[in-house]
Amino acid sequence: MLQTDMVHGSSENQTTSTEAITEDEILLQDQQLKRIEDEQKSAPLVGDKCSLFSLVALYDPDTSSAFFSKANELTEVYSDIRFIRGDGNCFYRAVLVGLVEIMLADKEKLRKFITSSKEWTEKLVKLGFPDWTCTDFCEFFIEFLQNIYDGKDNADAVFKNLNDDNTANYLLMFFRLITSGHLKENAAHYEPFIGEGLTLAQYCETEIEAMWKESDHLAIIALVKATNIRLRIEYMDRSEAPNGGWHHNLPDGNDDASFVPDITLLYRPGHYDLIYKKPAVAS
Amino acid sequence: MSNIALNRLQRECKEVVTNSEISETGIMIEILNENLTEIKGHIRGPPDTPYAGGMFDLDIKIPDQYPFSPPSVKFCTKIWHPNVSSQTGVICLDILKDQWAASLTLRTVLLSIQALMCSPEPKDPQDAVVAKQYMEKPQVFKSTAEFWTLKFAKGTVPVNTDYQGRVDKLKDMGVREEEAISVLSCNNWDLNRATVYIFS
Repeated sequence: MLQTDMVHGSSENQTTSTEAITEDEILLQDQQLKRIEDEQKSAPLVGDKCSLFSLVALYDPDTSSAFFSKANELTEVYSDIRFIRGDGNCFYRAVLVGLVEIMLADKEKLRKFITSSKEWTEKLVKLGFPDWTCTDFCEFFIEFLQNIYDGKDNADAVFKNLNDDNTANYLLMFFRLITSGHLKENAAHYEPFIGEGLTLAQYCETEIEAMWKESDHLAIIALVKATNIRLRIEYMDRSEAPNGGWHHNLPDGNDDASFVPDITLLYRPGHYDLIYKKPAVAS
Repeated sequence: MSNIALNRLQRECKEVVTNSEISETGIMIEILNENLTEIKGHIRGPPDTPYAGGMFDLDIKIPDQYPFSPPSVKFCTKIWHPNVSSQTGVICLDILKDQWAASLTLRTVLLSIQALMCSPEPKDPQDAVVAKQYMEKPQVFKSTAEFWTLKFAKGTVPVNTDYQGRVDKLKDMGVREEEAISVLSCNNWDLNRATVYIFS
């Protein structure tokens, strides 16, 4: 799963190359992409919640000792993991699932999120997003939440939707749009972080609004702010964390003592899954 | 395809068909099947280009993942253009590949292809032979593209008798007209080289 994510990324780079490529090469590339896609599709979009020891089991204590021991260490704090399909959408999907779980359990939070999603719809139009093609995604997302609120969809129905490509893509697109919307709304603040001679608008269109494009740190902070969540990311590999630590708190890197995350993600190179803390033991 | 996607596509088709600017924009679509997965596009050759006066047909196929994946679009009318394969009609256009966004529509796609017809991008070619001619022999490119427009896209420019004469010579040798035009175009209308290419 990890590998496919990375392979996917590199083949995308190839297609953006400006060199002329022959039709045979295009065909070969298409075949490769198809194979990778088939491999990805063998995993569910959103896995069932399962014991974190299933993560430990993925690593060989001898050949990947660092990840093996890190996974073991995580089991001291966390009890469960929900694997997310590695298709370039994993960050957005993981946050979506995490948020939906919170809202299934807390009607007041759900009500607030419906309100803010409606506000986002108006904001996106004001920010100049193409009118009906964008608001379609917003309306779909709001209807999805409203069905939970009205009791039309129970948790089973909700997870069925989250695991259905057709439905889930529309929900993810809403997340991508508000991520992009947050960046565009605060363009002056984010512009300096955009590299490679892209404008912020171009970056949003090619990196954020395009499905199956992996998220970078900018996308992460923007979605966290757009959804107003507190997010912790645990890193399997210390060198990957922006602050050089084992985990990172967002939006503003609060220190651990005062920070209570709504959602916790586990980052393994190129991929995000959801993890869940052990229930607090009553003293 | 999901119902949501189908609804959206219906709306997109309507957007092209009922848009009041049609007479000005020169784009049109025709729906070929009920579930809207196969659509025919038409683009009128933009004025002041070698394609002026022609009518170009495109095959549009809507993938299952639409609108998250781009529609697949190619010319079925033969066209001489650096960013379109002169053999297969495959188009090299960023929004049909990695620059696709789910907020784009059939209308924006057709308008973008029309814009590409006005401003070729020879540095990012689909057809290297055409692109080379476009950059090195712009006059030959222009008259070749006009000839193709006349021959394949019902264009209205007067026929280039010089070119037609060379095509006829190859036809006399038993070569199909389409192949004759293609090989001559690829060889900058050098009859000897075209003949050698065909018969060697």
